[in-house]
Amino acid sequence: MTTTVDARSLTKRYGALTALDAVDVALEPGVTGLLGPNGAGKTTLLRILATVLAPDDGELTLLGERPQDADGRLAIRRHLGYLPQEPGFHRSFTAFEFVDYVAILKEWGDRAARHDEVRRVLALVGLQDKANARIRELSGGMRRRVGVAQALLGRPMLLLLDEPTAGLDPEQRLRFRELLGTAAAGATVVLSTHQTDDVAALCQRVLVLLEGRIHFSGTPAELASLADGRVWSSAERDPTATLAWVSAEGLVRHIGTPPSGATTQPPTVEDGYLLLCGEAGVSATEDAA
Amino acid sequence: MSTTTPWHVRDEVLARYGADPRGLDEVTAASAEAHLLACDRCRQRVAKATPDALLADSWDAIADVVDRPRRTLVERVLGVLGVSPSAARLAAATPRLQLAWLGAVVAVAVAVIAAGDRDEVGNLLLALAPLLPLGAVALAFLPGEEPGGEAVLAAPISGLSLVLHRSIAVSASSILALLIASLAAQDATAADAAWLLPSLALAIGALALGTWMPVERAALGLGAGWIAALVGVHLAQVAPIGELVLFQAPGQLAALLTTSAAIAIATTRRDHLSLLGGTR
Repeated sequence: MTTTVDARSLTKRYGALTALDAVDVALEPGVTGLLGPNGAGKTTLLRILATVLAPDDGELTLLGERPQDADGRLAIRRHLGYLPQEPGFHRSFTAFEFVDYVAILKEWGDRAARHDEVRRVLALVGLQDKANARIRELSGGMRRRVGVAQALLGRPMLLLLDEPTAGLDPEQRLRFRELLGTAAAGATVVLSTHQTDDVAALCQRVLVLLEGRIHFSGTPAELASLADGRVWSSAERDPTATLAWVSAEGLVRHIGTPPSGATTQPPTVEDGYLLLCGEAGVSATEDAA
Repeated sequence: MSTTTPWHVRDEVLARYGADPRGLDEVTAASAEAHLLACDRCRQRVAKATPDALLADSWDAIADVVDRPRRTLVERVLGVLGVSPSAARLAAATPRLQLAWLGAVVAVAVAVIAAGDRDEVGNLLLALAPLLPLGAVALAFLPGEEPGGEAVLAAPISGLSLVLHRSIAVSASSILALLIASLAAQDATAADAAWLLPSLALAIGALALGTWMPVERAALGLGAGWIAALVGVHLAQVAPIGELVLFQAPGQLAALLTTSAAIAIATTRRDHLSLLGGTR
């Protein structure tokens, strides 16, 4: 398969803070999940891949083009869909007007074809009945779906989604998974999320970013397998465990080195991720920057 | 509406109408349409006689009319001034720019109407007109003006090309509106358009200086410089505004040279233009 995203030693600093520290990423078509706590550098990496932020150091090639060059940047943007963490809608626009505005910026000159495309993407996210509702009147989840709709305009080859399921209810998240499975077929999708179950359900590949560095790159099953033989439950909290929390069953679920006699349990993607965070000394909910 | 009538459209007419209403002569088509409005049974028959593709196209055409974004007043004005609907939408999408531009154009129109004396109108236009396109450029570059937020920065028409698009659409239409206003005055002569070259020099000069500093700051400096030059020359020459050296041959030549230099600088240094919070 073709490498569509090739990043080498990407580094980005904000003053004294190093948001990305010599990150290497090579991606092919398919869905890649980007996991990490707040402040780990996920949004910085996505903004660099979206060509809206220039790295301080490193080499980047997207869809065979260099975003450092004006012509390369334009060529990339013609095949790029991007949902930022905070889309910043013009709240007096209707959903249709907003997506139509973005479509104009994506060089859809012919009005009839553009409007057909706007209707198509609004239908994909289930907002065809809200097309003429003003954005300020929409719920947070609906606004998120408007953001996803504009990212899907023109069937992009590179789709970058920063927290696409934030604010969606469980049913909408299921619909989103189904949508991404069909609407983004053949594209390279990078999905930044805190939801490990989204990663398990959607992604062929997962990257775990902690404190600006890639700590894991592999399949969701491989991430889960990091915690093989290291997950167990008991009625009492075990102080020797790396991490422990009360599960829905009322038992304390532990990750770490199980005591002798403990019955280990099959690990999930979340277990593998939490173990990585724990071993790196990073809280999975840390807000570092 | 659920009604029937004692007579019905013939199968052959209905089939032709369903396939393509333009295939019937006007009288027959109008008669069929009038009947269809009143007859439930014939509406069901025509629905069956209409090809699915034609039906889908018809619904798309209706949906397009229903969904079509409303054009704002500024978009309509820009449209009258020859700006394409897409370009007008891009230019008018920023509320502050829209309001300021509309306000400036209205202010000039009011000034022209209110000033009874022809010389007063000419002097007012000469002095103030160069500031309008300059203001439009500054407003287009103000951070936080982009209604699409960060998603827009990753679009092919984004960042610099988008603000330049806005600057050009708004400043060019301001210039056109001013030109119409100045030439509409009685006894207008070519000298009444002497503000045109200074306007271009200031607007493009702001873009050129914007390759070293924020454009809005460059525009503010140039605007202040223009007023200072106007007052200074006026005090030195003690003459009506229209006769100041700024609007005579030497001033026009200087404005032309400045415009040419500014175009060259803005073009060669375009990658240095700062915008939208300096993300690029």
